[in-house]
Amino acid sequence: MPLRPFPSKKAQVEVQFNWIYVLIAGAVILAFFGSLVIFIKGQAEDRRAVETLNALNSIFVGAGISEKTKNFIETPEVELVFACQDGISSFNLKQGEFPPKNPAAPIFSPAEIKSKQLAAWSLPYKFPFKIMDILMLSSAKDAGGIKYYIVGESPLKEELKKNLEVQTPLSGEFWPGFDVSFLSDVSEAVDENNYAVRFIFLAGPSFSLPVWISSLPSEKVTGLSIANKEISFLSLKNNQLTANSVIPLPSIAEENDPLIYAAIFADSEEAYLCQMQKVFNKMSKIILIYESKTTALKDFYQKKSAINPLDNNYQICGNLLIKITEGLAVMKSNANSCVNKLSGSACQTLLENALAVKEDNTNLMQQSCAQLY
Amino acid sequence: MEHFKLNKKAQVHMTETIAVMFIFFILLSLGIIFYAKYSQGQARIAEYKQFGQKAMDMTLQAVFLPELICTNAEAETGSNCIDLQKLQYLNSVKGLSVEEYFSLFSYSYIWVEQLSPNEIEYTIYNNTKPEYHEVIPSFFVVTLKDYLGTGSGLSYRYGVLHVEVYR
Repeated sequence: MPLRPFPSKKAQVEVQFNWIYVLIAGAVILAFFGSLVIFIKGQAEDRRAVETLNALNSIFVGAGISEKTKNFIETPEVELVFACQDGISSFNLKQGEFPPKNPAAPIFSPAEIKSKQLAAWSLPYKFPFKIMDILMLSSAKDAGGIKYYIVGESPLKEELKKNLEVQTPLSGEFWPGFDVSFLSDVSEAVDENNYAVRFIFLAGPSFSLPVWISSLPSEKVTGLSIANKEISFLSLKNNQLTANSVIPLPSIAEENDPLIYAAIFADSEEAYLCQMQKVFNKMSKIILIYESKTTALKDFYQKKSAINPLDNNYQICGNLLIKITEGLAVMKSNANSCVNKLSGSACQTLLENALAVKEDNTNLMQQSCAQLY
Repeated sequence: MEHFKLNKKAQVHMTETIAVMFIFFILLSLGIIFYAKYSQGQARIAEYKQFGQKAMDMTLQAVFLPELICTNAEAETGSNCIDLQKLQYLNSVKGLSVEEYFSLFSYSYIWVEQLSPNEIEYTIYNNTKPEYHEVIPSFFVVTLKDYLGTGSGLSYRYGVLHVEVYR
């Protein structure tokens, strides 16, 4: 059997060259398709993120315009960040660089929400007429988000229990409530591996904390003290919660006070005051509209009174409306002074103005006059 | 002669390779073109959906605007009801200020058309876009609560709230 001749040196080079050529071409094609897949995946993720932001914005719009609405929102696995600066609030996804959404309603929420299930609740802020709806947002119960420990005994406790815990309505959707635990003493607080915790003290002034808190980063432990219509935000220093300045609440609500609930869910004093700036800006605009309405009603009654001088009622209505006009003018100037901070004499007078307008409106109703609101 | 034969074979081989590569790149560019067209279409649909959603949000905000809605002392505010005195004031100042309400209503025209007892138009917000691509109109039938009406004072009128959102 004759031996197979060795391939020539030229053929050897050609075979090797072919292999190298195939390898390079294959690698180039593979790299091309790989980068194409990465590009398409990135685009799809961006599109999904933008869709999520738009959907959330619409949900917040819907929740923010309907009074006393409780919403349960299921979101994709994303981290949401909420911010507020100079009275303009925004929210965005933590990952990625997307244009932030600026919701019209003030949203009181933690700075970061890491949860697939959110609970939202809206309450109208009336002072004494409706200013706007305030939206409270946080992670839903058992969703592994932020935990709220409500410590102490107070008449407010029952109301908080009724409003913040799970509710099974007779009709409509199930609402899981926020992740809250009601405790008589802070030592009862159990670590449930939440990424952030917030302590709400109903009966200060001692703000002691359980030992396990030291395992959490300091920015993940926050607190609030509520006493009557005054609140203090608490911040963690050396494993102890210390109270910031006392903020009197400009509120005339006898129950379900939206400003108390807003403080419970607000991330910090700065965030709370910033969102309240939005509320006060709206208040100034609303007062202006009510001022003009009062003038229209006053002119109407004064004309009627001139035509029918014997009908005393027209004069009474006219006089009550003159009083309201003066009250609203003072209220407008106090609301403008109160925009940036809630404490101070202007805010205290603003509260008195609102109560006076409320009383005058009741008097209008009792005298069968047209009501202001 | 042998050398010439080998060269010709190599030339044929090279032409084959070029043809294969040419077809491959043709198919690839066709794929890219199709994908680009598809993506463009998808982006246009997403943009339209987003605009529709934005228009719906704006309409809802207009219907429930605290500056306009009817109130009844401490009771919950009524829906689809507008306070005529507030509306008349807004109309007298040519609607809400564009600078203050742009973040809420952007490029849109919102007005109320009173249908009975007589036809009157009240402007709520007017910021139309001179050169627009698209406009989404929507309307809601509303009650206009008039505190200065006939008899005891309170009466109701009917109207339509129009919202036109521009892009």
